[in-house]
Amino acid sequence: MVLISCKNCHKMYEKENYDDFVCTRCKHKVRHRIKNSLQVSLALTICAILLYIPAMLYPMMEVTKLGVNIESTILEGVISFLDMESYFIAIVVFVASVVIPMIKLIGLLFIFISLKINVKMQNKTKNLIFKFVEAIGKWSMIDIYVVAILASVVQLDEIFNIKGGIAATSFALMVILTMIAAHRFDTRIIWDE
Amino acid sequence: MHKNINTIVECYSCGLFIKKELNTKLVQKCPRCNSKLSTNKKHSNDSLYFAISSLLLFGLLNIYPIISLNINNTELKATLIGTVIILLEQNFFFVALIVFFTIILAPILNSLVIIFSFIQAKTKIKFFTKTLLHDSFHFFKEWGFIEVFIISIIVTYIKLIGMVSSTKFDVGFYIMLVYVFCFYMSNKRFEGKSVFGE
Repeated sequence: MVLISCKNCHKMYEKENYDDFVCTRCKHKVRHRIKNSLQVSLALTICAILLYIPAMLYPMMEVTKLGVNIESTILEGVISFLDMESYFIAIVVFVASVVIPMIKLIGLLFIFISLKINVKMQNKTKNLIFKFVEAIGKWSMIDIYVVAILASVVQLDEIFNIKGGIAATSFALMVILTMIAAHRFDTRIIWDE
Repeated sequence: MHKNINTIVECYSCGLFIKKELNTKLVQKCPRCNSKLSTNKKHSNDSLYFAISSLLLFGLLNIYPIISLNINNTELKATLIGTVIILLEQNFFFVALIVFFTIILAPILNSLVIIFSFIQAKTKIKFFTKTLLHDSFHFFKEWGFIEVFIISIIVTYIKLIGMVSSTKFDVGFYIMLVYVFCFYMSNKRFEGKSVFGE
């Protein structure tokens, strides 16, 4: 006899084997482990890494001041905050838009690779890294919201106008994909023999 | 074993099955990975009151602007829905969809799910299945980013004040602060599993 629980509603079952069945409480399919969790999460993470490149290279925002159009990437935005001596905000934007996505992508990729290659790291530490990645996931959206609010408030045609840049779409997609990748990953496979 | 199965809980981080401590109100941790284990707490009525307050505040904060500034006697304002509309106007359909879902739709539906759960638990009216309420509660809780939006408003304010000195937080921002508190509390006091009533 084996113990198995529904990951959705947490109801416990005692079964003969690990075959899939339908939960009597929430009617979801109960599996021993999420199906193809590593493969799906890895694919999503690779997509997110590819999206991170245009997100960093292309302009996030277009500012038009007295007819002069200036495009700025995420890093240029951080530099402009430093020029304005807003060091705290520069750090916040830099951490939220550059550091956090990078930590998320590297962290997830590291965990996935460590399942296939023998890495000398305790499972507990890998789990901790994953928990951290999961917790910081949504905070990368700050830059997208900032662009949306700025674009919404500053609309004076040629005098003063702010528009989103093409990097906004790839950045938003990257954040969403990493969140889905983390959500889809079943950490229990880290501990499976 | 059958008698004790309900006293066992699985750690969803490492897959270890652990016997629950029934006589403690402290959060139990997994001995193998140190993750917090799920508890069997019941949701409190406070959650309903906070959810209703959240919805009312949400309606109110959509009326007032969040940030306003004045350039050459022209008053410029940003509202919550305005941020989505402008993205649509600038042809950022996907970004607009994400912003709309994460700061408007998910928080509203999250509060509505809590309210409907209470209505179904206290009356005989059945709007939705228990599974739908349980799943949608967790889904909208996961994808509602209103607290991130608050930080974004502060970042925007600091960015704008460097360019236009008349920039100020408007009434909508202060309503949003109270809204985020009510929203957080309604989720904190609500237990998704209690929807099943077991």
